Amino acid sequence: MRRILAVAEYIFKQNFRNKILNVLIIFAILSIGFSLLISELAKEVEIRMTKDFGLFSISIFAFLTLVLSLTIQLFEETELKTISMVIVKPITRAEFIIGKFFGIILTIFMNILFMFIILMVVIKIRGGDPWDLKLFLSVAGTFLSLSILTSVALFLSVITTSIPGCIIFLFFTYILGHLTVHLKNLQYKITNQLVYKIIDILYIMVPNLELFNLKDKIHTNFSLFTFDYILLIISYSIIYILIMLILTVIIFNKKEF
Amino acid sequence: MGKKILISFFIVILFFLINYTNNKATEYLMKNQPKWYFLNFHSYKNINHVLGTAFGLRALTSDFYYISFLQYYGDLRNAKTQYKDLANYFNDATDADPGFEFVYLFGSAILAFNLGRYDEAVKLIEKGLSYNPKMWKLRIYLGAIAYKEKNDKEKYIKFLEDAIKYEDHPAILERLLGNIYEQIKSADEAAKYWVSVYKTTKDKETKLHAYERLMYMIKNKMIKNIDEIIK
Repeated sequence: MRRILAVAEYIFKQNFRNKILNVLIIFAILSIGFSLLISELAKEVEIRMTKDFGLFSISIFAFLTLVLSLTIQLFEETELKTISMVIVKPITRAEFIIGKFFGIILTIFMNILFMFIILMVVIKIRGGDPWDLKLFLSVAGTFLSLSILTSVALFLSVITTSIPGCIIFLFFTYILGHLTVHLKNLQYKITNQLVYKIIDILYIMVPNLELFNLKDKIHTNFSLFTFDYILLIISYSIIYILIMLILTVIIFNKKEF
Repeated sequence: MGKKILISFFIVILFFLINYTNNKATEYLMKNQPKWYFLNFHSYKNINHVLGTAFGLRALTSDFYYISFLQYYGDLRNAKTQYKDLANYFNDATDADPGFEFVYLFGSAILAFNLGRYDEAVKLIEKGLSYNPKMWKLRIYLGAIAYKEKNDKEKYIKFLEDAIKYEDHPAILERLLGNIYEQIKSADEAAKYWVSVYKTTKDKETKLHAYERLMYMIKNKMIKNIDEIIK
């Protein structure tokens, strides 16, 4: 456990030492500030606009944090060969992967927290309620979906041979993850058995990110913000992450450097 | 060997659990979301909606359509054509997010009471009611439109007075009602109304409009009991 935490701490510090991530934070602040401008354009629905744009900024910048963090890690491991130094140390490969996972999600968590506090201040300035439970749950949903994507990213990083390949696959996972529910809904109207099966496979394999997309529902009265639903999606994310990490460790153990 | 079998068994159990939680959560989502939430075979016709859904940004897409409408409506050059494309902007915004209730209220108020395009306003209200049947404020608007069309001023005003009692009414209704009061009521009554609008409205433009109307009435010595009204 101590070794996992040491790796996580190293990854976390490494991410924050990197200037790209600092620029990202500045961009996030600017972006949320831009939401003030947008809401100024849309009188009478300014709180809605501020929330929508702020939540969009949080999700997109958190995703970019993941992508950049992953790119940096992969670059250092493959190009600078730092991985060779790590695997000769008294640490198992499983501990390394799990530590890396926690390091990245800790970075994402800090970024999301930072952006969310700014968003709450902006909402307060606009006269809205920053303590809205739906807002908290939407941000929590974003964090959960990014935790899943982090585990997928780690899995992709051990099976793909190049950094761009890994990023492209991750991007497609992000998009497909939001569409699987819609495909599942259309499935009943499809008569072609092959397409039907493909949808089934996608539905099982690709993380169902639309389940965590609560930011699109904060203005509606449909009851998704319930204890039962939140518990279901938390369980789903934990199990999905667990499977991904196990598979990543299995493949990583077989890799030769 | 034993370890491998144990891990494989563990993964199989996890796969079973993930499938179970995924199905349960998806079922919950499908039950609790209206039909419009899901993409259908006609969704491809509007690529922005598909993109909004693919990136999980449906509400934001609708917000941008709303801003486009504001820009269109704010451009005086479009007044020459009587804002002929206005209804399309409302349709785009409400197609992306049919739960965007304010667009129905604001859109129908502009179409019916400002531009006199009752058919388009009624169409928008009907769309709003079909997606949001509990949105009874739209029924008040529907009544107001019906009486405005028949030129039954009393009933029309009654509907508008009912509508502005609700906190989320569009500010345009406050200005509209004030202008009608100026035409059919005494100057004192109209001034009293403008004072209350000036005090209570959340919209800066409406506040300014109320102030300007009051100043106009004072300047032209239209108000008889000015002290009482100001008090």
